Amino acid sequence: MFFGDFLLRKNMITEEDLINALTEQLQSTPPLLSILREEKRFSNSELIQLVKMQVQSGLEIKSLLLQKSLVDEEELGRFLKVQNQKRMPLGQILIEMGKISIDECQNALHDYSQEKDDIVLDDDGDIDLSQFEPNENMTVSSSVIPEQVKSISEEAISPVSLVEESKSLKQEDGGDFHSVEIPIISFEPIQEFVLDEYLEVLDEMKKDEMDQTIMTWSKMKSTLDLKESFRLFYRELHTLKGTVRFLRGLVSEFVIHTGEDLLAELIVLADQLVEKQLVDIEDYYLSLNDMVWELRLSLAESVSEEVLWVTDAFQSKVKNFLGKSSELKGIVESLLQNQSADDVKSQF
Amino acid sequence: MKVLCVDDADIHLTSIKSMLKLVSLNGQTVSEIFEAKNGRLAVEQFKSMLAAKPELVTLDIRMPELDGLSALVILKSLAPRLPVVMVSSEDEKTISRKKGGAAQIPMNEKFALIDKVAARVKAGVVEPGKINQVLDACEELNLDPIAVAQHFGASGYLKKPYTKEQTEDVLSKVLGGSTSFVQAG
Repeated sequence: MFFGDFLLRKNMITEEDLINALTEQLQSTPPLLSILREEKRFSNSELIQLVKMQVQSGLEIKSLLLQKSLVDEEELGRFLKVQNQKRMPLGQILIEMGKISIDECQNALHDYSQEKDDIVLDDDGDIDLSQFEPNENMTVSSSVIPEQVKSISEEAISPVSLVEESKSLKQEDGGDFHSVEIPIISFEPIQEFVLDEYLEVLDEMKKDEMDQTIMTWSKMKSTLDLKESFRLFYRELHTLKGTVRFLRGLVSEFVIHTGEDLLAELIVLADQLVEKQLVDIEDYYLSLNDMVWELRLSLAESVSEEVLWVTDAFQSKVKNFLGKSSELKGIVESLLQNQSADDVKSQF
Repeated sequence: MKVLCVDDADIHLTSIKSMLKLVSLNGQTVSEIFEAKNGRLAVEQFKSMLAAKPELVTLDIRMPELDGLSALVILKSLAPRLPVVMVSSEDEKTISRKKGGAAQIPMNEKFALIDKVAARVKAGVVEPGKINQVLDACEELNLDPIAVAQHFGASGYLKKPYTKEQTEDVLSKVLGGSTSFVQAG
């Protein structure tokens, strides 16, 4: 029996109160992906890959992790425990809902733990879900929760909500991006002949290319010379920029050039970068890739980026990206200040 | 006329090849096109062509293994009068480098340092821990790769995306023996 059932049995709350509280609790549960991210178990690009796999397979992240042997059951149990610790305790939710008082809750928790010695309570006085098998950790709740609430629980843990959440967080963390100016781009129709080969670049099959590049780069940067990995990445971006230019992808060109420019400086400063900055840099390039991807698809569909460029949603992404870009430029400029002429000369 | 086209990206290689088939260069047409996917392969290809050398080389700048500027240095040491046109999408950098170490090095000294790297490239020497390619030296010294290409004897620069007219214009001038550096795109 769980704490909710216990309260119900003691007539301290009604069935409706319990359902409402459980719904609230599920909504407050951080997605497993965000736990994996916080724990730094996977890189951001690997996480994005995981989300893609999830969308394709329709499996839950925890099932996918086990199926692909990305973590073992013990490790997954640990992540689920962290996830569990981060959700709001049922007691606290009921208190906030005004269904029970603090004293009533404490007394009930005391009685409950005495009655159910076999159930382990975590530090918050909540049931420790990590003791259960990964795929069964919601079974007790499921027996109480109606279909409507189940769908909410799935939504709460879906990767889409994580992506949206991380986007909004980024905007908050990144300071006031509203001050970032979006450049005015004058769209010209393609006057010169466009080679069929260039249009093929936008083929469905190729849209994962840059994601793969960033992932490769991300893996390489820990094992290989960082400078060299930046150079490889630079070449990829440069080729992409050349390609979109032929297609008159003016926005794509602008976005890629912004990232490429920064990369040129990062090559020079590679030795001075610290891990925290590398994480920021990876985030930045993933957001660049997201935008370029959208732009490439737009080009493929209409051979014009204008339609996408003028939408509020895209402009907001661009603002976010440019804000991040200027932050990284700030880091670059301050690192450059510490570089002496002798530092440069010593490499020759 | 024989032309050697060097670019690591298939799509850009196809593009320049298609363009060369369309243009008329001082009344001549391109009869044969050879290709290479990086600087090292370009040098090998050039050496293997014996008597039937290409009359023009188009060189991308950013390539794996050996960059276009390093390949230029080697090709020019093998054939000083060979016309080489750089084909790339290099842009001016927008981040101010007034603060870095490179900003404190005078221009003549920068070129002396880059010559040092070029000498290493020509000799085929790789010194661990040092800069061993010309393009890498450009990045570290904050030098414009196009200016450096000119320094090492390139005849022109065709910036992507180039049109048929621009290609015809640059290549005709270069093949016509223009003494000044020709650019378009």
